[in-house]
Amino acid sequence: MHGDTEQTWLLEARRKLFGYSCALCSDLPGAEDLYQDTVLRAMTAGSVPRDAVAYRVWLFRIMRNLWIDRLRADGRLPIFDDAAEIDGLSNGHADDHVVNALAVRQAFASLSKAHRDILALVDICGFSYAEAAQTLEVPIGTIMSRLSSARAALAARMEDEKNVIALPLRRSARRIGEGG
Amino acid sequence: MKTPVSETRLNAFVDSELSPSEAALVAEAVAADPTLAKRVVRLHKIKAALAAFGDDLPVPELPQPAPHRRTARGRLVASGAIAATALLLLVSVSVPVSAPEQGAADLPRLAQHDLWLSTTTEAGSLELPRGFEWMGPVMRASGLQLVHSHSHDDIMHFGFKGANSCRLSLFVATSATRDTALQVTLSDQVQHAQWQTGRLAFEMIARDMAPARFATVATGLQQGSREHQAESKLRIALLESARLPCLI
Repeated sequence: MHGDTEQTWLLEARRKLFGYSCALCSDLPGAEDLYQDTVLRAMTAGSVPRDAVAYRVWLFRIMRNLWIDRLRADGRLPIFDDAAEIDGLSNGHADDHVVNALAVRQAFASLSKAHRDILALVDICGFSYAEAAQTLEVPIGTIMSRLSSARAALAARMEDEKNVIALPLRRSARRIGEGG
Repeated sequence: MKTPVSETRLNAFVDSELSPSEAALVAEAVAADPTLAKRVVRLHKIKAALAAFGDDLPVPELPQPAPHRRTARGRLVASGAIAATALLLLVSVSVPVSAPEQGAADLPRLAQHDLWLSTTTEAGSLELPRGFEWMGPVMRASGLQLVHSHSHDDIMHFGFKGANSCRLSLFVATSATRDTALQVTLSDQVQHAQWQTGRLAFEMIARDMAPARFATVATGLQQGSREHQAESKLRIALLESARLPCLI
């Protein structure tokens, strides 16, 4: 049952849990629904992990399973293509422009569900590779390749969008120190 | 011949998921290759941008488990005003404008760093205090030496200086409650990194330091702090096991 300790863990995790929900769902009402249903499921669970790390993994896994159940019901299951080749971050002009936080978020929203899923766990929720592997029930090697692939896709989207969206750059006139 | 660093390893390096020996090899390759260094910086920036995903949206209240639970749709109607506000916020942050630079308001320790920058009197090279010796190799490899050390209200401020007067502050507080991942924010004006390991919360600040260099130092220090923490735990476990009652 959910006791005071578990309630504290839940309160500590709720910001990231909601962030994960926003990352998985493409609309805010859907994200709120998923978050609420996850929390309810956790609070009414008969058996709850007694370790803080295990609890966090368990909590996020509930959300992910609910999300997959919904997608399955709609016939929109995400495809995890772990055999796909990783193109890597673009080496072209990508380094020449400022990485814009909003541009990253826009590009993130346009990623596939599978890519959003892994990026959300590691970059938004701050999961270690081991925790992410536990949550997704896959080997750590799979986490590493999925993550590389997702970040490469994100970089590619940012390159695409850069040509469409005008991002005013705010470069400083100050010289950046090259050495120590 | 140098072995090229794969995309997977580079990502793991940025996520501090490599073993110390592997991380050292990648760090060496990054230091020798400006293109690789730029890719590391870019990965750090993407991570930092994603880390704040959803932070600007109000988190819905925790539901109360009750026998007559409202349906998800019912809750949606009840929270319509909040959702509308949040949606407005989401739309407003989606406007394609450049993200604001991180300012002093976001970084309370920046003022302390600037205060230190404004001081002219400095001792020569200092020894790292006990318990922080593990930082030595990372800082030496980075060409930085400790020139300032000050402790106030359980917060330690270490000031490091490079050969070309580049300065970096490291604040260490004993206020951490759990381990957190490394978060790096890089702009032309301010470079900032923070993470928590064990009971220690680390915050690193510099101005005008090359982003690739800053990110590499931050990654090295974060990995060093984690390894030191793990070693300490092992040492304590060994000491505790040594206190077990004698069998005879």
